[in-house]
Amino acid sequence: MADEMLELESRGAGPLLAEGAAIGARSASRAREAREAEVAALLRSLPGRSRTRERWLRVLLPAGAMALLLGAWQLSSLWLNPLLFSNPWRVARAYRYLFDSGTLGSALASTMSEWAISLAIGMVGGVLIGTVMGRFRLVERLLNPFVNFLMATPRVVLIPLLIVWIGVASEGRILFAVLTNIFVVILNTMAGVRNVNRTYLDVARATGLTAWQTTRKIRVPAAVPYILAGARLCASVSLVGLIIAELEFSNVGIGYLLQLYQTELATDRILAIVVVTAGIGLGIVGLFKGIERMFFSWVRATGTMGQA
Amino acid sequence: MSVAGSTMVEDPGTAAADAPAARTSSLLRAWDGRGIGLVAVAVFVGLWQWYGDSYPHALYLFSTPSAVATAFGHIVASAELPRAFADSVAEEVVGFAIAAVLGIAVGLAMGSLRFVEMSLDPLVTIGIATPVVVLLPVMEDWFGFGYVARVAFITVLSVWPILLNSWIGVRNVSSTYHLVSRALTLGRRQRVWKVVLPAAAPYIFVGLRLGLAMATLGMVLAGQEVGDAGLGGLTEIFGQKGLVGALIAAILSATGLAFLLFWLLRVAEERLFPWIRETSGSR
Repeated sequence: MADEMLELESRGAGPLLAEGAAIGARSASRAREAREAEVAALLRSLPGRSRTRERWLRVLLPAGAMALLLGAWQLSSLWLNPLLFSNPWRVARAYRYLFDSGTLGSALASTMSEWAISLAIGMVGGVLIGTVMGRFRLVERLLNPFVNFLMATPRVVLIPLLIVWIGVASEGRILFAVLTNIFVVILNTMAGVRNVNRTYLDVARATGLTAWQTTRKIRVPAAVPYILAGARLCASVSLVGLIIAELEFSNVGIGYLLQLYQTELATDRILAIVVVTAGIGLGIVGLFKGIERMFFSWVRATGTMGQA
Repeated sequence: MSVAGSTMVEDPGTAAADAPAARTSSLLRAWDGRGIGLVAVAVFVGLWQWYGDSYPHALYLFSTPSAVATAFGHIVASAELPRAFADSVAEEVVGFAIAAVLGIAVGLAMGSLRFVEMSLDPLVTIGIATPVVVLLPVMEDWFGFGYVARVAFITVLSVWPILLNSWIGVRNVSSTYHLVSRALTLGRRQRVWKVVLPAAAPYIFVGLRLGLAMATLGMVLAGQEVGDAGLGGLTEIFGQKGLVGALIAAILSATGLAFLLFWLLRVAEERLFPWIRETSGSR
């Protein structure tokens, strides 16, 4: 379900047909013309000159939209207070301070190192718990109420409790990030361990593989696509969880900087950091797609990804 | 090993089918189906109570179930909890409703108009990859330290999954439907309301459900950070005072609120589009 959030790159023939329908005849008697228009639309989509035209449009249109947005924002400073609402020029200038003073660098170092730790804990813990819950019905039934309860609870609401229990140090932030990221890994691993192709298991039995060999050679590889999808989400969610923890209780990291500049009403610096964070978010998504492509190209080739 | 493997794949339906044959075993099966989880919860609650009762210093940190129940009674009687609950629901519903209208409208435009899709595609990609919670301080600066900022934050947080899923849903509307609506010479407005939106509804509702989870997160976070409002604010206050019993009662209420809103969305989905369940299985 959550994986659909990242289903961005799948481009079907939908828009093409919609376009064909829009071009098409208004009445049923002109259906033949419509069919011709559809064929024309299909032809246009084939490689050739129109392909290059489309590639240009794909660059120019978003660039235009972006320019329009930034231009309007810059102009808004004519009547809105630029101190509060800022503008692209001010945001660009804010980087000078952020870089020269080194505040952004040290905040990023703190956030990203804690991100890596919470990602590692979430992945290892989630895969372990998910595997055990997926393989043993009893464990699943024992843990299910707790997992369901924690998943239904908006995790942020636990922060005051975590502060009372653990305090406001690094451990509290990492624990909160793990609380937000581990469930997606648990669920995906469970699904992966369970949805092993029946035939593979039959083959394993027929060839006399031991339990351990079956797990290692069949169950784990079969679960890889699911675990990968979980890892991608886990990485994104960890960052969100960590920044929430930093916003709420911290004196280091990106979230803390944001909170600090909010009290100083330095909107330009806040927005400069927002842009950096967007870059990090995109980088994380790109990184995990790259890992999938490099090491697990068979996942897409065998089409198992579609099941995830 | 392989036997365990095959029971994994067995679905609950077949287990129920051969139940009459062996009555006791079916009872046993039904018992460990739901019972074990309940037993685990009961054991957990019992241990928690025992721990708090036997080690008084633990009471301060972990409270006990009975203390939580008492605190719950107190904050209900003092109207603190009902007021916070109502405030939270109101804020979240308003922010989520704006996000739903916005997300579905933009998703519809992107799914049906090629140039809109091309223009906004990269922006949406960025929006979805960004941890949007970083916009909380921006909302505070732009909309003041109060209600408007909280609602704006809820909207900004929950709009992305709704937008994305509406877009994908509209794009995936079966071409047959387009052909049929053309054959029936439907106008643009009829096509949108009678064909495209209902056909995309399963996707849109997935987006709404994801969006609602984000809205709940936003409601609590904004309540904690922007002027101690609603349930989030309540947890913040109890946490600072070290009233762990009341804090846990407030946390449980937040879980209840999340359940309530999800249930309402589910009911709305089943009332408006009763066929979604049947046609799209797990979705």
